[in-house]
Amino acid sequence: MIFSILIITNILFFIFIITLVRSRKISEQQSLLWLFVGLVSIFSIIFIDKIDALAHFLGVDYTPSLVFAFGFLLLFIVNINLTIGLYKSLQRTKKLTQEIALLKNKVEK
Amino acid sequence: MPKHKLLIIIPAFNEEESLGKIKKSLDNFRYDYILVNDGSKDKTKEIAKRLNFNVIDLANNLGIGGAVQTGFIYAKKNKYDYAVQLDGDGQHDPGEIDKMVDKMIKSRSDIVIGSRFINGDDATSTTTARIWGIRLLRLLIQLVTRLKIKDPTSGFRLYNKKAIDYLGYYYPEDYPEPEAIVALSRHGFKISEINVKMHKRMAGKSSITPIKSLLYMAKVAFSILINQIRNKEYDF
Repeated sequence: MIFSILIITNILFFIFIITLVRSRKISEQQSLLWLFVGLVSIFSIIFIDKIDALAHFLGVDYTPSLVFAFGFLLLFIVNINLTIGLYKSLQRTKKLTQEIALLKNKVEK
Repeated sequence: MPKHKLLIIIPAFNEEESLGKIKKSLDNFRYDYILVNDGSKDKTKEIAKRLNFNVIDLANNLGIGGAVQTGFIYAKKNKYDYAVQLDGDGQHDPGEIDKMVDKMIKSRSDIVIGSRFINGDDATSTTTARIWGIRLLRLLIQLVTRLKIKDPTSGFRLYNKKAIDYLGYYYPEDYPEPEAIVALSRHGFKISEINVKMHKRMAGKSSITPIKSLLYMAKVAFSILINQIRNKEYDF
């Protein structure tokens, strides 16, 4: 039962990402990351027994711990990347603000 | 017969060494031209001003897509009939522009691509890695647009007013040359191609390494495929 729900949710996720790209809310390259995440997700749902084996191999008794750990790691990385991108955007906006102000001053003289 | 206005758009990022030669070759012709300085960190801006280029100085580095698009917006604002992209590294020859205009009129195209490869692959004009990448791109573009473009990465292109209008509004950012072909084709623009002479890079370094070439191919391929599902209405 949960298996079907997860698969359907995953498929909805794919559709969502593709909708975002179609309506130009994110770039193709950004979508690449999330589509990849969706792919990893759907593979882990289908091959959950392999994930169990991997967890066991790594010495993790409770498989969901491994999944959550991986999920957290992914979110951290995405977050840090966003922070870096945001900072870059802020720098560029500051530069634009300053240049426009100086231009205005020049034009209004 | 009314004189048609043509604008040469020269995107430049750290091209201080090539500017002198470009100016010299442009002086042989009567085209209008602007240099779009894409946030160069070297003396590109100073040298361009000293050489009397008409310079558009971008406040931030936008990459080739953003820089050339600025040129399109300028062309649109100043009511040019044609625009030609001429790369800031000196590889494109302004002497070939006449041929391109000719082809545009004769074939009634909206875009003419100046190609290095119409008469077979010219192995001397670029690196092996890129040649294979270009072959892959050719195939991909043909699959998606049915167009047989031999040199999809060439930026040496002539655009008419209709194309200038559209591209000022939407021009892909990272690897615009192949992506633009797909986008333009989807929106019904007619694209043709002719053979042109190109020079080897005159001076300075290309910003494209072999690893970047590989990544480039993967990213472009993905972008092109994803673009197929883009909503057309949103584009234009």
